[in-house]
Amino acid sequence: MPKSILIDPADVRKAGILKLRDIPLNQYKPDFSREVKKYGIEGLRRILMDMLIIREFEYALNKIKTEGVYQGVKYNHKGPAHLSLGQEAAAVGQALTLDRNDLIFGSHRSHGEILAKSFSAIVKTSESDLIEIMKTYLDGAIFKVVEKDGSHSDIKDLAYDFILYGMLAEIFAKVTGFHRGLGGSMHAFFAPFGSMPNNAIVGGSADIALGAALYKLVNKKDGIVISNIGDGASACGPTWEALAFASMDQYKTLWGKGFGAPPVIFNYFNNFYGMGGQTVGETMGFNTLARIGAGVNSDQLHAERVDGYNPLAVADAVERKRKILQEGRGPVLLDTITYRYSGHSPSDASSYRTKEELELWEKNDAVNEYARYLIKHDVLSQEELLAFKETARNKIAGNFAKAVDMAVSPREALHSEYIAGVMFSNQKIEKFENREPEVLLPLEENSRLKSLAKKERYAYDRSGKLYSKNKMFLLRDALFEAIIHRAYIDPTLVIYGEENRDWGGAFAVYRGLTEALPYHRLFNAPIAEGAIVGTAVGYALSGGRALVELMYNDFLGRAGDEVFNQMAKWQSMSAGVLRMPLVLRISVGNKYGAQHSQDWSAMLAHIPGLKVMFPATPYDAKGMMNLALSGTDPVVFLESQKIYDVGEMFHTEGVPEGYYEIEEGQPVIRTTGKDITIVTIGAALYAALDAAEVLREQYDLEAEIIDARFINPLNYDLIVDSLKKTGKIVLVSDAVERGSFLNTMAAQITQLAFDELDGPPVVVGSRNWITPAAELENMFFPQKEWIIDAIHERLLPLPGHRVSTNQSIEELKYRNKKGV
Amino acid sequence: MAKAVILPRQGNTVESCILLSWRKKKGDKIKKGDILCEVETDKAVFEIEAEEEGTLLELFFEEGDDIPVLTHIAAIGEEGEDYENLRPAQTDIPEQPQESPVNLPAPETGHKESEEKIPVTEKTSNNRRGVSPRARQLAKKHGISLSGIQGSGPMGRVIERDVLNVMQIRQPLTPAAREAVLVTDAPLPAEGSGLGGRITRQDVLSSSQAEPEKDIVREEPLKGVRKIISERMLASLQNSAQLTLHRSADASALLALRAGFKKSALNHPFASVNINDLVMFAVIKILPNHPVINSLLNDYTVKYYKNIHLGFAVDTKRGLIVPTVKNAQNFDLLSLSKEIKRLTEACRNNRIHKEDLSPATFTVTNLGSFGIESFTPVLNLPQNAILGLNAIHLKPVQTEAGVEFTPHIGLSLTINHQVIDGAAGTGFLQELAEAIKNINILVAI
Repeated sequence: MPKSILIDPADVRKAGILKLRDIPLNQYKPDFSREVKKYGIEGLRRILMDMLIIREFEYALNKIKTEGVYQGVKYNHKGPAHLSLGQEAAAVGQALTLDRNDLIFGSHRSHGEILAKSFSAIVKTSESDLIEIMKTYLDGAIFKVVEKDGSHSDIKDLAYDFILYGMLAEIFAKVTGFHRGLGGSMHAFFAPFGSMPNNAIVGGSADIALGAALYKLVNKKDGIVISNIGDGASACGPTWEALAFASMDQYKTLWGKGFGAPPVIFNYFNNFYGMGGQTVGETMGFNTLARIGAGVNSDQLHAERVDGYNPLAVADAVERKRKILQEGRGPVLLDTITYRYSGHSPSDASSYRTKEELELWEKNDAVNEYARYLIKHDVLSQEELLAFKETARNKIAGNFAKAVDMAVSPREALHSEYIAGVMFSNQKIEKFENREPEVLLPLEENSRLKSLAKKERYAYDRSGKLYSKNKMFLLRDALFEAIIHRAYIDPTLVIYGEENRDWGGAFAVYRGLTEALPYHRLFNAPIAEGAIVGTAVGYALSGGRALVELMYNDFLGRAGDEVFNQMAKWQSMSAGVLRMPLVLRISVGNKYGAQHSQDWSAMLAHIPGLKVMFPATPYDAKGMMNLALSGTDPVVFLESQKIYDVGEMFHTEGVPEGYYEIEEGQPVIRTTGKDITIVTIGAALYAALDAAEVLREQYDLEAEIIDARFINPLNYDLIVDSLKKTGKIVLVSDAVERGSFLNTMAAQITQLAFDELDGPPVVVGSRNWITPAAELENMFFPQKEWIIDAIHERLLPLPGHRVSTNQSIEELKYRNKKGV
Repeated sequence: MAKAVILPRQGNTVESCILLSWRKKKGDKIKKGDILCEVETDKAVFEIEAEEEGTLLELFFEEGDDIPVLTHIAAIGEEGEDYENLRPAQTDIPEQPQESPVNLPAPETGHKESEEKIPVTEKTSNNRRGVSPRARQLAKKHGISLSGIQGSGPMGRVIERDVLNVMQIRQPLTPAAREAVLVTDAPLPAEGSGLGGRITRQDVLSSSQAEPEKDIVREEPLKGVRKIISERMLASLQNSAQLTLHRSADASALLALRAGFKKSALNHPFASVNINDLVMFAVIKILPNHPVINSLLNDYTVKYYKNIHLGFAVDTKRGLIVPTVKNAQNFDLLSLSKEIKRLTEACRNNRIHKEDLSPATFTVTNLGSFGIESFTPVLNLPQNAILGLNAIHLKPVQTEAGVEFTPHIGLSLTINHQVIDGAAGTGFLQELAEAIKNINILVAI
């Protein structure tokens, strides 16, 4: 909502006609002499060699998958094999002109792209660099196996085997795979050569690749990024979100000179089928995929169709588009047509296409056609072609035999200690680059910081009276302090989401940040929750720190895949090769009914690979945000809208002005007591405090309140110690009771301290309904009466207590029976 | 309109009755005066009669349930009539007011029943009570048997505070005993043999030997009269200072008189007067001279009585029952004897009336017919004395003619030393012995 850009009714109401430009289709004109000049004869022959190796690679996997034997070596491959037989030319052509700095992200069908990109990088990398990369990658685990052979003519030949062996070992879940076998066929990649994560979620790479491009844009890094997705991904929402996010006007209108636009190519390897769905004539309506660029921006995303059956046409297109990106005129869309001979997977009987169609494409086969092209121009003989094929077969067979051999290529034992080391990176990184952070004014001149200096950082005055909210330092202020602190230290930190700039965030956490940070470090994202998280994933795994926001927890569904499958998983699927310094702030609402008032912490807790934090006090909000923003792991940072305006009621010395961190996973005691333990998550802390007062005054019971603060990881020691003292435990949060994380805690506590229990751990959550209107919310969210009644009914009958709500076992049974 | 069958209060001290058996079943046609069921108190079995005519619509309890008095136990009315309003609540706590801070939302209104319920008291018919793991651990650590503990948690669950309560009143364990408890897992004696009543390792070990788990053939929970006797006896010994004095009385006259009665014609009213009756008669005669023996102790106050309400123990199949001869001082020998027989019969046939079980001021218990020569009767609190009658045996007595063997009856008087000193007890026994020796004179007076 920049004030600088006027929306003039006179303009927007004017009659007229919007004209689209022509969209080029397969405009590449072969010119052998130009091609020789450009790539050299060796270069042109190498293209053939690379295609043949890829074809043999996929052929071998197809044999193994369907017949269990390849070149006399038997193997039972249990995992997937989504093969790209037929698509070799597109992959090799694309990689041909790319540098190591250029990144490609792919799909479940990306074996060929990984190999092609790596081969291309090998050719362009010096031998000493190659040795360095191979020797250091996973401490030389792959290199040691490949090098033993001693049969290599040169380092580049060795590097080819390094890639082929590492790739096969990864597919076969071996410890010598690119990612210790934790990624597998669909997720393999090799970052040192610019082959970045390949995604088994259709279209999953679009916004992640954009995030990597955003990283290059913001941090002024060389290179472009290509998102390789299939035509099947053209229908996916997050793919469209990525197109929208990539083509925002603000890069050009607001970010200032020298930025341009994210250097990204959305390349659709269009093999005309999304699984079995035919995108032309059946499941989509675009007829020509390149058309969709015209709907996105006035440059029509520079979209064109490229003949993916001619590697040189693809190489030409990539080179031309790179120029556009370097000029800051991106993003770009390519419709690279190709065809896969194999099914979607070996279980695919290809019942959706005819034999005739298959044969037509095989007659046009790109590898044969290209070989004929070279033979025609006398740079290859038939004998050499046979020799090339023999070389390819030998390379694959040799590496295949090593990769399946359990003695040479064992599997990792996935014990807790090992897996804990790859699920999270657990590092402390002050800043990801050493340069000065770009800011608009010195920290001490920030108007909000100046105003905060006058606030009371402890909520009570000397007489024990609460200060008014206007005078207090609030939870939202604490978050602001932590965030601006990191923004002035880490130059790579970018902050974005909906209404993050100008507005100051929907809940005023970012007020004062707009004046401090330039556009490229703090900007408003389109309302595209998937892309907000997805781009941040790409940004973080590229080496920068991202802080993004979902305005309401309820919108998590819109970013489901990006949070659950991408943000959470890439550290571990890469066996720790990638880091994910990404903090996702999610506000938990109330007052706004069923779609704006849900605490979905349980879903986040359920997904392995996320750290989940939920502070309830200003002291913790600052210390935990500091913790989150100094780490290297994906953190979902939950904030309850109920308590953005609470002051610090526990630390009598107030919220420190300086930097501090809360110990990760460590709950905290809010009030000590000996009779009953109440564990809270989030804003429920304050209901528990009220309940504790009633217990003390009316029933002479001392409650010990523990604020869990963390959902994952979580150290149960303090809770168990408290339970040893009290024997009774109630768990309270604003999440609906069924499936609440509290039930996980209750089960864990029962395991950890069964003999200490004087009654079952009692969970008090919100009702299993839709969140009702604000006026009815006290019947939905846990109230202090619920806590006391639940104690009375299920743990410790309180003498003389009269219940005002129904927390009985009978009622519990009834609610479950009715599903509410 | 359906009417409730109410469990009547069987005497002032009765709080609940065990439902022994239903004589009628659901759906039976009932006439006024039909016996509906039998219930048992600590003292006797009663029959509950129908006071209404109609169909037995519902039985609210099952056989074996322990039911508070004045509870609805059944409903009688026209067939098909609604009786749910008569169903007893599961608690005697008055219903809570309906007022609550908010109007309860719709899904709950169809489910009012559980809202009105305060589920603190356990369901009376449910004998299976839980024990929290914490209470179990604590009990084990301190060697406390869980079986006798009343749970105060939800659904009657035994929780930590219940065990702590027991620990406060129980004798402590020596450290060695505590270790032994952990090993043997045996129930402990209430009283220890160590210093200050401490339970010692030896106590634990002998306790564990006394009840080796593997030899248990079957387990029977105490209930009904047995349970009440169990509680009363334990309470008696725990709550009073009992001292038993033994002596014997010359029974020559007693035997001669009894023999004389027996020889009389069969239809003679005195023919059935027995030794027991005669001694009881003697007791009545001398008791007025010893008011403290005929007294009760309540809350450190001794209450003396003008009249004698003489209790006597009757052995029945279900346990000991003690009926009372009210105003016994007014009875002559014959009427006393008849009253004793009537009450004894009633006890043995389960037909004892609640008025005949009213509290006594003094009790006589007789083990003499079983050959017992001396024993320590247990006080029937709050009475301060109980007299045990033993077998008659020959005792050498020094006479002028040398040593003669004279029949003697053994007397064992247990007194509450809190109230009665040995001398006062001796005085009573001495006068009683004299009275027995001269029973023919006493009868003649």
